[in-house]
Amino acid sequence: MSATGKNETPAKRERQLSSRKPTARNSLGLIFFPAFDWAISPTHPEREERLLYTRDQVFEEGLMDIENIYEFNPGRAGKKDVQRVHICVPDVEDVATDSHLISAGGAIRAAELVLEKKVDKAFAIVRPPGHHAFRVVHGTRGFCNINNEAIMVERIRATHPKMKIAFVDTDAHHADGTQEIFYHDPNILHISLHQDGRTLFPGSGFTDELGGPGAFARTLNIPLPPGTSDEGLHYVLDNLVLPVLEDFKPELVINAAGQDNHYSDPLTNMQISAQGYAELNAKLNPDIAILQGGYSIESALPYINVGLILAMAGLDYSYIHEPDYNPADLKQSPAITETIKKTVEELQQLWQKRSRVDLEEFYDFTGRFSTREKRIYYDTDGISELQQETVKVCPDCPGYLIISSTAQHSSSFRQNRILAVSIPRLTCDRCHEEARVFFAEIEEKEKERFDYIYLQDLKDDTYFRY
Amino acid sequence: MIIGIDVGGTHTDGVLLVSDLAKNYKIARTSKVMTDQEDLKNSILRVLDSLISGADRQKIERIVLSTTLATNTLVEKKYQPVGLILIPGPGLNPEYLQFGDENAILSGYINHRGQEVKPLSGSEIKQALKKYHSAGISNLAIVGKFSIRNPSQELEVKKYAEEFKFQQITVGHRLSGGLNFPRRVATAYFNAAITPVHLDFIRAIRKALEQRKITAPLFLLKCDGGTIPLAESKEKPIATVNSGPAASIMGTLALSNHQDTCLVLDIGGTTTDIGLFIEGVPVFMPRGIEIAGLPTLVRGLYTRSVPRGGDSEVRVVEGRIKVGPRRLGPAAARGGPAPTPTDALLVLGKIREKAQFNGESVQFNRETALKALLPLYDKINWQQERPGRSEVGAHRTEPASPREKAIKVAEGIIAEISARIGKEIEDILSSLENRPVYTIHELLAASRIRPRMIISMGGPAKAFTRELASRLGYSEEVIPYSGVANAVGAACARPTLETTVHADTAQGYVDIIEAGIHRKIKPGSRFTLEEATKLARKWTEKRSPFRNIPVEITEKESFNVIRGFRTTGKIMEVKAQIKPGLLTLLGVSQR
Repeated sequence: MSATGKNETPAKRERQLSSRKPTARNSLGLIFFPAFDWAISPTHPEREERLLYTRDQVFEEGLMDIENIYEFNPGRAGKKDVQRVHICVPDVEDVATDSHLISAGGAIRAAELVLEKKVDKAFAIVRPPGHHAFRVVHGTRGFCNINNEAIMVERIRATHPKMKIAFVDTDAHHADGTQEIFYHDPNILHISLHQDGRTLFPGSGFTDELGGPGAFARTLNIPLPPGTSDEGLHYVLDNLVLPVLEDFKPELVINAAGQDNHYSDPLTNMQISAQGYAELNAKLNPDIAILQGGYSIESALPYINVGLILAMAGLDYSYIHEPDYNPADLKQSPAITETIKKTVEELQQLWQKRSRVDLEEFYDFTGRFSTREKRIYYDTDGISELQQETVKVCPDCPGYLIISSTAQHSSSFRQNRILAVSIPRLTCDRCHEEARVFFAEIEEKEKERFDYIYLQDLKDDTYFRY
Repeated sequence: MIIGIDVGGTHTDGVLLVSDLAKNYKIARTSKVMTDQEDLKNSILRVLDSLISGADRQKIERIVLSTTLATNTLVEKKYQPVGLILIPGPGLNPEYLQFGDENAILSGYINHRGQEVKPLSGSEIKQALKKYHSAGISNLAIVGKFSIRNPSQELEVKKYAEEFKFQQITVGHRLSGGLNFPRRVATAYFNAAITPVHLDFIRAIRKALEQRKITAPLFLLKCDGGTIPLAESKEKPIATVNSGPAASIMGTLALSNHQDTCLVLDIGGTTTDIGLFIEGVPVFMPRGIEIAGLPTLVRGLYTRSVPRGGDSEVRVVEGRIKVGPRRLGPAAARGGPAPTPTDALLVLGKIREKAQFNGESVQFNRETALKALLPLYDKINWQQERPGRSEVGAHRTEPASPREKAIKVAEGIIAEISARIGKEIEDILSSLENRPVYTIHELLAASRIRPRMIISMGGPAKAFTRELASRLGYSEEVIPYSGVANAVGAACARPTLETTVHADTAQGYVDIIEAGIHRKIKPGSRFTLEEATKLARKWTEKRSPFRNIPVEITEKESFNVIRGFRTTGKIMEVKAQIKPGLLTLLGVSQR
């Protein structure tokens, strides 16, 4: 730049001004919906204030003005969108309010933008999150009622039924809901990186949770010891997540972008920084990102979200850091590094031999049905659910599910017993017929024993409750 | 008496409004001269002199000017160098923001709560100022990220700059109450760039008025359609940029005074500018206008320019009619080099050969128009060309005579323009309807904006408007006096103001941003949203040069700050404004 302001020419100024506009390398759709008028309760972490500081930072950085970054409002998910994923007890309206439907609608909007090729990538910064919501929903757990990302996936599959989709969930809490919904689905690879379940809600997500017999190793869990830093996270990414994705060859990669791994998060014990997050996103290169948890609303979220937006847009994020960022404070201990290496090695080996595993032996079942029992605790609503899930194992298709569930509400002594038959979209005609006959039978015989009986038939796109 | 003068690219227009006893104003005189771009002051004074000759100067209530001074200076980039001083903190790479002729990046840092995370370094500041001094720079723009939450670092640099005797200093936090650091930087840069030119202009105009013994207050029109007293424009001259389109929208409002939702078309020679009123109130550009291709925080009226005007060149490209974006000269029927939409209207009989445009009589030759359009006929691929809605059967049968062929071409031209403008209107409406919102309430309440009427002004507006309106399904109105509508807009507009009150009771601060106030809230006092609202209202009224203009609250938000299950305070923001509107109403006969 010239040092003598006097010989500035208009032509030079033209260059100076026009060259200053950053352009996103990837066009990015942002669905930023902070729901400033909604809270679970006034002092709950999921409250109005949660994305206030993020908004301030995103707006002050002028990200919405960047060439190739576009802002969109969320839509509102319809009842059918919810029914394709969930069995809501007693019904959708009792479980999902406008706030939940709009949050899911934000995820759906993100998918539409990407699939219609309006943008290269999309990021839904929406609340409340969804990844702790299971297929059967009796209430709120882990601040989630309905599973935004699962609802989005079923919307996608209404037009792209065979699409291979990979989830990488980087929230500090195990993505137990999303895992469960797609547990038997061979077209969905669900990878969750989270703080070790022995030290944090929901207490699950261990390396031996690997998907059902029809979808072996389509579920992968990487529990990380408390204190894991950027180094550990990136070790898992480089040595396990990226090679697995390389093998699976998904058509769509979704990052469930929880932000509670952050070193300042009040609910967890991890040591990840905004730089670590942004770099993770850049390496992972997801088509869609959806915000999950993250409750360090003032010290972490503003910086992580700006970092994620820039990383997704393919822009320079190296200037982003938290006010108190000091890499020296965030070094993980050698013991943690060792533990992570062992976990990664175990899963690498498993991934390598995934097609040679004897499933009957692994799942300890004979015949055509495999059953598992689940105890699900709803921390937010104080509900204990006992569930039995039986999957039909079919060599030609994903089979179907028979679910019986009893929910005990701690506050009211209320108990709900339900029975459900769930039929995936790609179930073969024989299994579909068999499931419908079974449903007709239980509808007759079991009416008395259950409060509600549900049919969730994605193949026919019909949903009943009795 | 009120005087309004609008300096346009070609003409400078003026009007003198005189009131009767019932305070009904009417246009008593108009004046028009060619604009001398090298000497805007002279053009203004020639119009002024002709308006006041023989009038009682003591009776002038106010003079309002809308000038292209700021716009021209910025568009032509003829201004003295600007030294930019940035305090960006972490975030977006500040490389993008070095708009200045010289740039310095300081290492201070204010965060989103207005907390100082990192102090400034005195030696860094001095080093930058010394560098600018030796580069012969006297204009400074000092801009910090989140400076509207805490202006102390900008002010600290300013203090140093004053010690170094810099003459014109723009500080970012005084320009707008809105968040957006890159826009703040661009706004501050442009503001600093035009300040010297603006100050010269003010001095010259003041002197000229003194010589004429005119003591009436002088106002400038801003690009948000409001006026600002001359003296107050000194700090933020950038607000007067782009006042032309604002004058035209305010003129339309004054001359039609509709209270419903209407589109405003300003059909010029090369472009058609589209504006919008919602229930009689002009709509703003979201976030701020663009200047020289850069988004800014300058509040401006919503206008979108479509490259289709009365004199746009018409060509056929790959079998399709293409109108604009160039203007090669006047219509062929007036001796111009190429066929134009005006020629099409002549051929269709929508304009007479002897026409009156804006009080000027214009002579056209229809035969020339016909001859200019005819050669296009054979170049057009009529299979793919969307047929225009023409007289019954006109395009069904193969036209035989040259006249019929020219008519068919003319139909095609008007159809192309109306399709393009129609698409642009749809686009504007859908972008306003889908503007981002952040609450469930607003998302569910989103409503459709459906104007039913087009109001227009400008050259061959009448014929065009009728065609466009009927093709696009709107009713139409062409305002009278459209030749001086901009000057009428300036004369009738009222001042506009905005006040943003941001309070963070957990931090113990309140900012009244546009008034430059950042002060502690008395400890122990419980500052409420009601008080913030009162403050916003009070400071808007206080800063207004006229009493009795209604202040409205446009935004209100309040968040509980909760730390560890305890409410530790509130963060509130309230915005108040005097929205653009009319200070002076014209008598009914004038509308």
